[in-house]
Amino acid sequence: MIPSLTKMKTNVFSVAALAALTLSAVAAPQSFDFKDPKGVNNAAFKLDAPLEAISGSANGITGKILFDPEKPADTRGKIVIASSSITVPNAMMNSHLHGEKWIHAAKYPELSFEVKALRNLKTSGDVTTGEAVGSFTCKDVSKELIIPVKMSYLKDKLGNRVPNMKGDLLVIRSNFTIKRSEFNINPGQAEDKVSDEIELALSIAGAAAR
Amino acid sequence: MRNLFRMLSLATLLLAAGVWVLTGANRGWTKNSIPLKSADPVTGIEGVVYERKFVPGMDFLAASGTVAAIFAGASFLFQTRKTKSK
Repeated sequence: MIPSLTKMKTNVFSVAALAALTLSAVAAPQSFDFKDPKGVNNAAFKLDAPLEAISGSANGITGKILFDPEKPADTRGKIVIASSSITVPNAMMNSHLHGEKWIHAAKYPELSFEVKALRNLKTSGDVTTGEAVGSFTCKDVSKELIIPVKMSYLKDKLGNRVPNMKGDLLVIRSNFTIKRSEFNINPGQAEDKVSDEIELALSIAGAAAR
Repeated sequence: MRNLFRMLSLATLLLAAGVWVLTGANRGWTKNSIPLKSADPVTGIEGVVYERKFVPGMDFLAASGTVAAIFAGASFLFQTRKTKSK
């Protein structure tokens, strides 16, 4: 009688421990890695000045975001863009862009946005929209920005994108505008050809493997 | 010689205009690469890949026009051959 009671107790504890482990695994935020093996992640930009329109993109995107589909408001993390990956179609313009007066890619190899809080969130199915409050850093300037974000949680879709891998995907989209004068990008110069306002469109997907 | 330079000037203009029209009559700056977009079927993200391709723009036309003008101007350095009157 006593051995069977002990065995039963052990089983109950095992089941409880397993349940707790499962619950904690479900409830814990997942870490999504935004270094895209397919190189599709990108930040497109457009400058629409009175005399010229310039557009280009950057695909050197890395960073990690902690996201819990049950608590999207707790999302935190940092997205980094490699300055050297910023590209415009004209070679001479590209070399000027990476030069000292503009991005100065050699001295400032990264631009980043660090998410500090999410607010005004609305979730419908797997899609959450709202505003991200965070710190945008470019060259030697960090400034707090509030940007609109749309996050799509694609459960178990990692395998569809990267064969032989299991896990989830998190797609983040955001369109916002910054002023180059506020980030020490050749401020006040050539604004008739290179507008002060830079329209940014971030389209990135992160993977959380299991 | 005079006619040769004038022919060169005209040829430069025509060739530049022809290349510009045939490559899409780009009214912006000359491009050394063009963005190719492709959508990721799972995430729907439109990725951008740059392919090396020369697409002449207005600056190319301006440079060609300058070269043509130099040829035309140089043609005036040579005098026309005068026919001897009997």
